[in-house]
Amino acid sequence: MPDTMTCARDLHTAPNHVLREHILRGFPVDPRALEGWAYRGTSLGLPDLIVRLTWRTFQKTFHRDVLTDRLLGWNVRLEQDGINAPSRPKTRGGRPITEWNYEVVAHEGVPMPRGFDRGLVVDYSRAPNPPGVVQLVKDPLVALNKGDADHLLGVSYLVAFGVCIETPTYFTLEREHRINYVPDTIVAPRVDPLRLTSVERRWTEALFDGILGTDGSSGLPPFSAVDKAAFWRTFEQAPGPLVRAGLRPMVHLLTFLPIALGFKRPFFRLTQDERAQFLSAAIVDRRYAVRQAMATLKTLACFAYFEDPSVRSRFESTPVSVGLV
Amino acid sequence: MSAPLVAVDGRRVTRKYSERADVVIVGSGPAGAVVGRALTSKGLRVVIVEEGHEARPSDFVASGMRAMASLYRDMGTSIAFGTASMPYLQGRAVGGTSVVNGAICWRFPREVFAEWTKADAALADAISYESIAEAEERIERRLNVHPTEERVSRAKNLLLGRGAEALGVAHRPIRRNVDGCVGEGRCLQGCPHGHKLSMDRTFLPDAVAEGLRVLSGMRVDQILYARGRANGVSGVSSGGARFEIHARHAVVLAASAIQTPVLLLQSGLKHGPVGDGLAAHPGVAITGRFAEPVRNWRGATQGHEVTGHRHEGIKLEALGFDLSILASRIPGVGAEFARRLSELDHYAAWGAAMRASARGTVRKGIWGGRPIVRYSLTPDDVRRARRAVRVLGDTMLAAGALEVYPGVSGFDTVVRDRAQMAHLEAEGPLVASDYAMSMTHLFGTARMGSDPARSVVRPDFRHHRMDRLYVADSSVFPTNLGVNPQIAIMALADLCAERVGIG
Repeated sequence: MPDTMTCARDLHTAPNHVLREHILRGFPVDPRALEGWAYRGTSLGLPDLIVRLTWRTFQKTFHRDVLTDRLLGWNVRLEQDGINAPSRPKTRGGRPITEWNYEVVAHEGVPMPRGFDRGLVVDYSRAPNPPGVVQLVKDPLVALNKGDADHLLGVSYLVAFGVCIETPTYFTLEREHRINYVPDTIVAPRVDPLRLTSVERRWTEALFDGILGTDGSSGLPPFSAVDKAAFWRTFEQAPGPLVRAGLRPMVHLLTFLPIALGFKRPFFRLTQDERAQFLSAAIVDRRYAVRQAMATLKTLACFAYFEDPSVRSRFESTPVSVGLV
Repeated sequence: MSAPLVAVDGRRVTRKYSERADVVIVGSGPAGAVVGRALTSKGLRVVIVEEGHEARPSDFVASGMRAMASLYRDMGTSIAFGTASMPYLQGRAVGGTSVVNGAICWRFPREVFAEWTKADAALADAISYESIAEAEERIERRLNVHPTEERVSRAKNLLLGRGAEALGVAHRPIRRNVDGCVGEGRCLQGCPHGHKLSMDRTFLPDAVAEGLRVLSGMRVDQILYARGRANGVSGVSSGGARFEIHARHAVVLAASAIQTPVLLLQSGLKHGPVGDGLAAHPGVAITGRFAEPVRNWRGATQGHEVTGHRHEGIKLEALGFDLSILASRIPGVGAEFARRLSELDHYAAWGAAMRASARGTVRKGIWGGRPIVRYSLTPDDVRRARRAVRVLGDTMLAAGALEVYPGVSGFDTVVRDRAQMAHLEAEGPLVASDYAMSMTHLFGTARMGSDPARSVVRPDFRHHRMDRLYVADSSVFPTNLGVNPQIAIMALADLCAERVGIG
């Protein structure tokens, strides 16, 4: 290998045997250097016709799952604007289209062609994917330069019936930007009895909204406009089981307590005035369980609200001055 | 170029793993790091096994929720059950709780040592106060412990001093283990500049340079022993594989006053009051609104303290955490809360840590080994909590707060004068669950002593029944301290390390 730095783009016109040589003689990749980053991918080695039918550029992402400590990822479909154009994700419903979920693992114990054990392995069989060929695919990933995770090279091979089958689908990865979107499908693939249902989530968010009261009139962003996905993702993965298990009865208690208190409807059916009236009474309720539920929900509402960057920046942008303040 | 801090990252250990060492230490917090450093410098081959992962300053985020998710055990939602359920906070990272504490440093109080030796004279024969003080001196030098500079104090800390001064109560800038602090106010989320001298930035790299091996992401669940001698530990890696670390000379437990007794119980070492006698410093906090902006999230996280109530078992501290936590402490709901929230920079939060007399228990749990912690305040402790809220309110009002929020159920939500605070102390509730509290600084669940029936380890830190097994963390403290224990824990761990080599 040459002593000078090799860039991913240096390989874009390289023939397959040269790319394979780089895989065999590549450098290890520190998984921590990948965490939280999106990489620009460029497909190499495939005939032009296939590239035209599929894609030339894509994104690969690396996300550390805080509950399981697994390093997970997914491909992002890009608009095919050309090899030198900036990445522009294809979207559906305002969200990037993602596919080909994977887990990144060490090469030890993974069946692979001889000599492919230089770096990490992108393993599509260890992540939620639809049934099909994708379940058979693995990509060894190497660094093009020692100790540098900015320029990577990978190649796909299949494992079927214990046999490894190499393919010519090489790709380069170039570090691009921090991840700004994590699809639910990748981080919550497990069956989790403590996970709130979508209906319970709506009840919870109604309670959060009522507690926070940020309808925009106070100059703060309304809760209805903030992105709650990051909050739910973190909450469903990190807290201890006691708190997660406790949230469901708390939400049910505060949702249906209004019926018992004479409002005749559950919380989410109350008018704004009725909601305010109920919550003002609940937060000073003499019953410990009600008070505790309100305190917990209020803390979580603040967590959810301040997870949104637009809310946080409203306060954090205040410059630090010298002196008393 | 310095050696990497972590020798083996458990996330990458997917097949059975084993290693041999002279000494294996469980836990890389202040106790484990000190023992690791001391024994490595003696030329021993030492391995520290840590359940958490290495966290680097560049990884630390301002968001309290995400910081707690990545650096705290159970996202800070571990709960002690009792007459009032209380959360207790523990760090889970290479460096242990030192990565996420307030960097507050106190010397071991002489009067507490006197209590210990009065209760068990054998402790005085084994440990002298002077030897503790000498160890503290060395440790503080390495950690650059010094009083918080005024340039990084900012409003929340300076106002606490102003309030105490107005009341004529002793106060001072907190002595902290930092170097080059810029007052970012993010100690509890992990210092993003690496200016807090936590274990992962001091004792651990010092020891790694001399040969210590740190294994991260490896959760120990068994102490291995044969014929009355401890000879290693086993557990499971984050990658899902079993591992065993064999120790030629000693096994040292430094996993905290919660995890250490659980590990002993899980390993069948039920001798003595293991898991009993949990002592702590429960805390109350109040919030107040000032006319001038305070920006509680700015300035040294915890830079000022009021020491004038220590004789009552109460110590006041400025608090600092993320915006979301401060917001959750503001009273009200709905439109009233939103209005207050829009003025969040005018609010300050201070806390009081109490030297409680209550004793709790720690037992191994049923959910994945999660401990079951029980802790109920005594009537005296509840009275002390009420007193603490009163002095916090008094101090905040004396500092110029327009109004304060005691957060005591059944009492006024908003208080604007000190007469109301006096009324709280005279007539306020004496039910534990009426006070919102959390627990910090845990002690006493494998306490040291000369009587095997009333203690778990000997005065030389060695287990009464299991040879070559030592406990170095705050589990061995017979009582709580009444002050922040980081330096005291490290000093006693240093004395423990001196004794590990002897046997």
